[in-house]
Amino acid sequence: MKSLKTLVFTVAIMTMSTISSYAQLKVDGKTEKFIFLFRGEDTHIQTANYDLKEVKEYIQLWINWQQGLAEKGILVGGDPLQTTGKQVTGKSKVVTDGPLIVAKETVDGYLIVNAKDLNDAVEIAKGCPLLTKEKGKVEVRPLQKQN
Amino acid sequence: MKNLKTAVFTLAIMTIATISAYAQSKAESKTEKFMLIFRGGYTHLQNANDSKEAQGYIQSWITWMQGLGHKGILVGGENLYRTGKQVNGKNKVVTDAPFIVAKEMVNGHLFIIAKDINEAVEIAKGCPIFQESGKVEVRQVLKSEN
Repeated sequence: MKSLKTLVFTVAIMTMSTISSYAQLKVDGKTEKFIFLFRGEDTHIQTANYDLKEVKEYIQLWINWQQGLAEKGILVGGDPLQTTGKQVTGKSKVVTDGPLIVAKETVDGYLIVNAKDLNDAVEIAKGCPLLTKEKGKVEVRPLQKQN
Repeated sequence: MKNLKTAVFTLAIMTIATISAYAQSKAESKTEKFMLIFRGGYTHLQNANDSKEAQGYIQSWITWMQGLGHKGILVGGENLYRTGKQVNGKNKVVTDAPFIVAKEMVNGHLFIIAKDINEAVEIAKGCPIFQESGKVEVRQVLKSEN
């Protein structure tokens, strides 16, 4: 689980280190926040076999990508999600077990980044290692602004 | 847009107010962080009108989030615009919204702290989105300790 710890640690550090640059960008009013929702991941860090070279290399790609975003001062934060969960539905509040929706549409994790506009955010998303996989998808959504 | 500002402002305040409580709970390792993912519902902050129903609904969200804040279990959250793009697979094909069936679209999220998944589900049951036949997905954030 060393890689997992490294990855989570990296996210935490990079997030902290970018808070100041983010605050500055926000004051300039030149960037907006976007959320990346990751779907279609088959190497989840919760269940991955860390003895495999391919898995290690793939996780390293994620670490490198996030470090790169942080160095550019555009990474705001993120978390991987556990593969399990529940869903509460409708007025009767029916609770169902996971998989909550068709497995391939489950959200595996998210990142929040700063970008100039939606197109800029999409270009950033294209660097995501998840897109080295045929079924990988990154949903790019602008966060609601206050004004 | 006054209500929207109030909602966002409330969220910001409540988040700050709970950071210390969250840090303390985390040190005791008795709680976990959960992500509540909101889908469905038809009154979105981005397109809500000034009708009494819409404003009442938004107020019920504010009240709910304030309640979570007072209990010290709200970590943060954000609303999403109803637009966006999706980047798909090895060829990185970019498609416009809606990416998935509209009723399955993610409209926003909150982070809360709870003892376990069952407690998180009970907290989620208080969400006003159920007045509008919405859904709340409850997912535990992966910890670094294990």
